[in-house]
Amino acid sequence: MGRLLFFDANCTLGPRTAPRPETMLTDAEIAAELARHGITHALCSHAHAQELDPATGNRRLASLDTAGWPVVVRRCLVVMPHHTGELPRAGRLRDYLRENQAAAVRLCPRVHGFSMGATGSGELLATLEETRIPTLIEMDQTSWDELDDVARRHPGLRLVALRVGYRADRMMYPVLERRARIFIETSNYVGHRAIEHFVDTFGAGRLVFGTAAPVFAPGGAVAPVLYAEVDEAAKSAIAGGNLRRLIEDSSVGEA
Amino acid sequence: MEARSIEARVLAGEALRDELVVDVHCHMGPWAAFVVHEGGPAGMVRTMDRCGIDWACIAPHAAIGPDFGGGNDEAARARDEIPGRFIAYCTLNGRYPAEANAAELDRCLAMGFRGIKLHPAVHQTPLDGPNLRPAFETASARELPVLVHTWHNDALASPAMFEALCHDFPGIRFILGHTGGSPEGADQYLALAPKCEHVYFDLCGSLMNLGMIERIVDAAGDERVLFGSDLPFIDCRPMLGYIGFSRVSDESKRRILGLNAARLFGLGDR
Repeated sequence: MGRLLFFDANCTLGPRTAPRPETMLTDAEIAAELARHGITHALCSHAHAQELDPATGNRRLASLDTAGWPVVVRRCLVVMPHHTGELPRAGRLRDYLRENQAAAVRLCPRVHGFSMGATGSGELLATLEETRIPTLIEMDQTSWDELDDVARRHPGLRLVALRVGYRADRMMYPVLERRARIFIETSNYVGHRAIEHFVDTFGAGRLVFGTAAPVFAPGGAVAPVLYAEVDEAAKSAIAGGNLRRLIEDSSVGEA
Repeated sequence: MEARSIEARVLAGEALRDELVVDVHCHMGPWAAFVVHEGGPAGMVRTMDRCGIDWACIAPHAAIGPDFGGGNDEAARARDEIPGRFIAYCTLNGRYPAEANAAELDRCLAMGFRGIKLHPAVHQTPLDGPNLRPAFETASARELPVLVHTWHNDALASPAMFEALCHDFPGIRFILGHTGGSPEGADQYLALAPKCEHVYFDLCGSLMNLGMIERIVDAAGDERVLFGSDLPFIDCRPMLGYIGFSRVSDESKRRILGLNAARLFGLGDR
């Protein structure tokens, strides 16, 4: 077996509002901690984009000098609807994502106080759908019914549900049966043999490894994949292959 | 040749077959709130074997829930059907009369159970209520491990209750399930470490913040910290990863993974 190349889909850089002292690492220390766990690439948002202002946090993310870090950082910009003028719309949003080298975007509708409904987010979601950019959303920011509705309205949208919990299967399985482009990030998907049952049911192509670092310790995220009783191709896909494929499929980088 | 570190072996996904590994916080069977895949004895042993876990200390979900007698029978059956893999806790329920709890403990001890499991939060009854005190007398006299669910701001199993019970029943080896369940909960329960000699700290939980194992070991010492996972309520593999990659020595990891529990439950190497 070759060593798995982990690509973390859920890492946050930058100072947070209320960090525990144990988790108060510098960005370079976070990168070193990920690397210690066998993680080679990380899709990172900036805490200020989540906890202060998307435009400010995205700018700070783009200005980070990550050269020399032991982990390759890919940018995950936090976005919101355009109506209040805080971020651009439609074609200009595409330009904004391309100029800032966005590999993915993240939505925080409850923290940022916007609706995921057609009126509030329809245009934003249509743009993201058109670009095929991976669109991340943490489960404390949405619900399975809401994701079901969003995916019904935007079937081409690549939705990645973050921090899916070990209690989710009864809510999640029926939605995934109907919506083929919802993907599951694994950092909190820790039910007994949950990965094995997911792979048996939906295949390995819809699980995306993540850590939720630096709040949570990455060891608890890598071990379920390292010890999963699935074949090596499935493990490799979960560890990083699926996320790489999703990012490569995005058209944001195209002029 | 130099032995490879536990961290390197976990990073390679290797079962820790040459280490003694004891999971002190396990359940068994279905649960109301969500599906438990392969939650029976065979499914649990399959996952344990993948990791190199020798023993699982079990309190079946039925016993935590509405059927503590039936759940205790289930634990005995699993232990007997797959020998050498399960240690049974006798689950008691403080909602039921003191006589019923004392009789159930006597019945379980006669079947060879090695400890007691209590879940005041699910049973909605205080740990120090009158219905459990006769069982505590027995547990103290026999120096039994007593695993108790704890959580941040848990008024039904508070640090103050443990402090008083440690005084009243000095023979009991209390295992604080989840060590408070969050960093803030750990802050509350770790305050017991210098006050109660026979209190142990179980790492079990789905939410392990970065640096928490190190903090618990610093506060309690590595001889009072125990590997627990909630298997199969939660998979045991995340906790193996948390411990394997923690920044404590391999000697400390060995104590946490199994040596401390072996002392507590009177186990030898398999």
